[in-house]
Amino acid sequence: MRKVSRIQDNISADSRLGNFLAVFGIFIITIIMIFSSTNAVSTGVGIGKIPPNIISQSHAYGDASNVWNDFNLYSHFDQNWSGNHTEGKFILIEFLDTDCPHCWSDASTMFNIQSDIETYGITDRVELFVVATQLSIPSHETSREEIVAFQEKTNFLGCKGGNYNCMDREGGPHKFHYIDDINTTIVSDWDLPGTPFYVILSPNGIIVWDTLSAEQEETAGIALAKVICKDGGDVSICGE
Amino acid sequence: MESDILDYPLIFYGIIILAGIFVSTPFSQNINDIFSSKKNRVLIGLMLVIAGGYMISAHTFWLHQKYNEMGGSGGCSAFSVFSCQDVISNSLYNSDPVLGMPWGILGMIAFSVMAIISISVFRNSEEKWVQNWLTFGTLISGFGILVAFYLIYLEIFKMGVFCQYCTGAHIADIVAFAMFYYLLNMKESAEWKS
Repeated sequence: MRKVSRIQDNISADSRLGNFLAVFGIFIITIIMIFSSTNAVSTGVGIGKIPPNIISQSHAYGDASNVWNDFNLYSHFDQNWSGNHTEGKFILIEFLDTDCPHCWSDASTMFNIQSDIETYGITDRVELFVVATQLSIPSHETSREEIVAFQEKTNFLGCKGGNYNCMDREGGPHKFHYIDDINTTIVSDWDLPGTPFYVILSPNGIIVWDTLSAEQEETAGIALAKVICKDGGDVSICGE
Repeated sequence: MESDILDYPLIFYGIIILAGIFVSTPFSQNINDIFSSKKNRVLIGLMLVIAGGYMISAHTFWLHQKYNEMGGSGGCSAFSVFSCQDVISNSLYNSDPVLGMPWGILGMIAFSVMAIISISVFRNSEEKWVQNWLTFGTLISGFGILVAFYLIYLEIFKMGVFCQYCTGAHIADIVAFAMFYYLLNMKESAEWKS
């Protein structure tokens, strides 16, 4: 009697194994179908990845210091970009801390890029942003007033460790949007090593260059020119 | 690319889930002899609901991959309460916080396990292990409800938008839980053998 019961148990176990294999097979086929019909790009910070979204508020040059509007990085992406570097709008983002001495002296970099973009008439090819964060270092406390003063080079004592007037920083006024990251959410999501940190995104949002991948002596401006001219382009910008 | 809140694949999956709910009711008993037994009706209904939930989860994972695709386009409206693109392409919340797996894959795994349980119980309903397996199915689908609550919390308070596919999977899981619980109670009664 016990033998019959054991045989029945075996038959039953076989049935469960068969059910498992059938469902597992369907699962694997589904996964293969999904992967073969998509070409996903992983999310993160690094060449070839889509960075985490930036959802915050931004300040436009010329607006009153208390006027900040909603900002969503992904809304600036063109998902239908052809992949040809001679078209579409590339995005250059700098992460800075208005109290960071390196960012203070590096402020001319973004100003020079902004000037070059205006000079060569390629405002429709490049969009600049600065994410203003607050590193967790003593005397690096910042405020929206300080960020706007740093952006517009106006009178505000509190930049560069709190001891310098923001109007004395390097370079001219930055006429592009400054994004508020005082609560450090964005820098935390992006897991950045420090400031200043530059990143260039292709029109569809893929990271094509960042500070960590820079070659020796390669500045953000040089990298941006290389990216835009990768597939040729205007001779006045890209040369022969 | 914008589309309606209820686009065609979701309607198809919804019909499968509704068919499962219908089959499990007494209204289906005259359709076929196999539905004359309440146990069979609920088990077949459960399998249909699980199939619908599995397909929705697979579609959610496909959307996850598609939204992370170079040159890909969104499949849902970006400017309404229902926006799968805003939810599934949100890198902060589109994967589970423990394993980092996309929610769609987790749904596929959960519904696959439920499918193995329901098919096995259907084919071997008088075996000793059925009680334990039904308990396991109830626990898995019950845990799925907790996950659904967490995702609904994220959708309401963190993102402010809903993904209709996620909502469809939540509904399938809740229905599956109700059916597993019903079967578990039925197993202990005389109805199971009838």
